[in-house]
Amino acid sequence: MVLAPLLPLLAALLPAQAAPGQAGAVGVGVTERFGAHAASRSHLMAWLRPADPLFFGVGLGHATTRDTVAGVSIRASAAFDHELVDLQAFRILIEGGGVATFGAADSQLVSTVGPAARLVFLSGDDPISVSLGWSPEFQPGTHPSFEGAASELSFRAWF
Amino acid sequence: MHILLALSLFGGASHAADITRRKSGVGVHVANTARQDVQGGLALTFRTKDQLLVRITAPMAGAAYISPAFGAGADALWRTGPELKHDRTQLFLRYGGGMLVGTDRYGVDTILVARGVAGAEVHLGASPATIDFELMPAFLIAPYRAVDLAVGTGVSWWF
Repeated sequence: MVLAPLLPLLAALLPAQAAPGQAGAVGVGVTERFGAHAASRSHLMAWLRPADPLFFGVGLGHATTRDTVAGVSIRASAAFDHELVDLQAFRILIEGGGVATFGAADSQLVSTVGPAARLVFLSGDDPISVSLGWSPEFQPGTHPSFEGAASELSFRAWF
Repeated sequence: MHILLALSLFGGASHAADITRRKSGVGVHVANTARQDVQGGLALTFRTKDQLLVRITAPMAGAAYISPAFGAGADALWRTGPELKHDRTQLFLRYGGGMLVGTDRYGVDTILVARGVAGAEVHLGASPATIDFELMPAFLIAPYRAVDLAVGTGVSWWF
């Protein structure tokens, strides 16, 4: 609802027919995070790759943390990637960066911040990528906590 | 198998490359609520008129503070686009709303959810398949009132 009108706008601002992994590409997708103590959450994401190999993502989704559930948050992500293997049918990249979320849950403000490291599988036929990685995070607030054993799964379509 | 054959005949084989002219989509659609309760499961989508889609999902009907539960959802979705293209892969936007009706696992409480849907649908160029990512703000009407946000992901094969 919030992100959808941005896609045509982004497309108009950027060079046409930017290939996946090239500067100018825009993307859309979903990120699922799996954490301990029910700190799992999902975000619908829009992606922008202004310059190779750097790209950014912003999304809307849940604000679930170890101490709070049933909230809404904005997720911001920045990362860079590097190709490891090119097998024609698909490519494998390694990706590193940072993630932060800002939101509200259970009538209190919720935020998280942390690094991320992911392996990315990019299809050769369709501009679809799947990434799986590790993303520990610090959760400041009333009861500050660190969650180290969290993983993330993302689907992205690039245009 | 017979169902797939019937849907194939219903959809016709003459519009193989144009996803906007295929009539039936068969697949899965799963949405996580803010509490990571699950909605959806199997999904049947029908294109009724122009790009007006009717989607039926079952059998999971979790919502805010209700899990697990069973039921079915129906959504009316307007498809626009393609908004973005990369070779044969296209991105469409989908807007709409619907209802989710179910019961808790004891069959005691009736669950009634009204929800909006906004998201993106990616048509893979190499096959008549689509992947969709959606934000679904929801209002739990029964057995009590609550506001919820689901993030949905689905895959459909179109006939």
